[in-house]
Amino acid sequence: MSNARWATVERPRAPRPGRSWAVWVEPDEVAGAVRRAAAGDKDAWDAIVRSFSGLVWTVGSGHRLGPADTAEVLQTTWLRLLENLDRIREPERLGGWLATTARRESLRMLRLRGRELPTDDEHVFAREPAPGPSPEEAVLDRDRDRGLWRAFSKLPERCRMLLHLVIVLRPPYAEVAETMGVPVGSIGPTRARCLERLRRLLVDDGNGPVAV
Amino acid sequence: MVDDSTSGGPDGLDDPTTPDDRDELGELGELDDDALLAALAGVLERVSTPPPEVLEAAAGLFTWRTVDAELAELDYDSLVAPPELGVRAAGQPRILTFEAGGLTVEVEVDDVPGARRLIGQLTPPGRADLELRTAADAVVGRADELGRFVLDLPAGKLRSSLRIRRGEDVTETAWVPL
Repeated sequence: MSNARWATVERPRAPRPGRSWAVWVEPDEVAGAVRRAAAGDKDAWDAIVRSFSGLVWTVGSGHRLGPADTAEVLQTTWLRLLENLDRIREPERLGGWLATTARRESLRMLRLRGRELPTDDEHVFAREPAPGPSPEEAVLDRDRDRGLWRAFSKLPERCRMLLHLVIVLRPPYAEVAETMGVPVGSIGPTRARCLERLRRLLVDDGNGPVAV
Repeated sequence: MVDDSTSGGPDGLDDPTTPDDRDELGELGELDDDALLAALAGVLERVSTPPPEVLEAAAGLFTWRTVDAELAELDYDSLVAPPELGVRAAGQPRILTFEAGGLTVEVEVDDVPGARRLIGQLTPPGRADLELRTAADAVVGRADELGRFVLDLPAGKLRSSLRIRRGEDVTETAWVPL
């Protein structure tokens, strides 16, 4: 598997207060791409897929689906968008639409597989990081970024999903809450708690195992 | 909620192992929420993506939309056209055949309760992307190099249409209850 494609993703722009940090900083840009894709512009579709697949993937993985099931959730989510391209009511909020659709598809997949819904308890699923550099670390050119990714990877699944969602989706976080299946009031405190954990992991990196 | 016992004091800085990394990460650890999220956004954007082949498949879906599908008419349905003797044996699987231009789609409804499936064969054989659509739903799948495929069916009998994509050619079967 080549990493070339991963490296072609554009650098993010500087964050602005109250805005998303995704490739699409301007909601108008997203809405424009949705309109162009609806009119048959393949490049616009490709750009949308490139920009939001990471989010959809995170939602699938965040529901404890394996890579094959997550790939199917992703494919079905894009299919849903394709069917609804000219019917999306708020195209500028495409990220939220995709995240909630991906959640629905993830839950459907879990039901199909006869598995239980994921627990809300983050501690149950604290993930064991694999030893050695990951392929992800190989595409990050700065030590700082590799360290940040390493720390992020050690966070519990739910924390990773939440942080990814609040990065890509704009406030207010109704869609984040819906995608996480939690009350909207809990998003702020959980976000703060997850960031605090991330800070601790960053500070302790290199000092051996961290009690999370 | 925040447990400060592990975040270390001022003497946490003099670990000799990798001073540069430690300093950089330490600086990250000092950032406020917005700045830390911004740094994380830059990293996630580059690494938190699906495998390339999954992205490619998603990009490829677009041809579903842009290409005019050829309609494959229902040619045979064992439910409405019982076998030649005029008596349809109970418990026989239902078989349907659809025909379009150069493509024949033969499917069998495997009616196991709780695990209904559509088992099919494309002629001429060959790989194809498949999408089984109902009014509210769609299941995606793939035919193998021999043209064989299996798709999950919803629990109830619903009007469905199967879309078959081979390269630029898209065929869509007539809508029938499956």
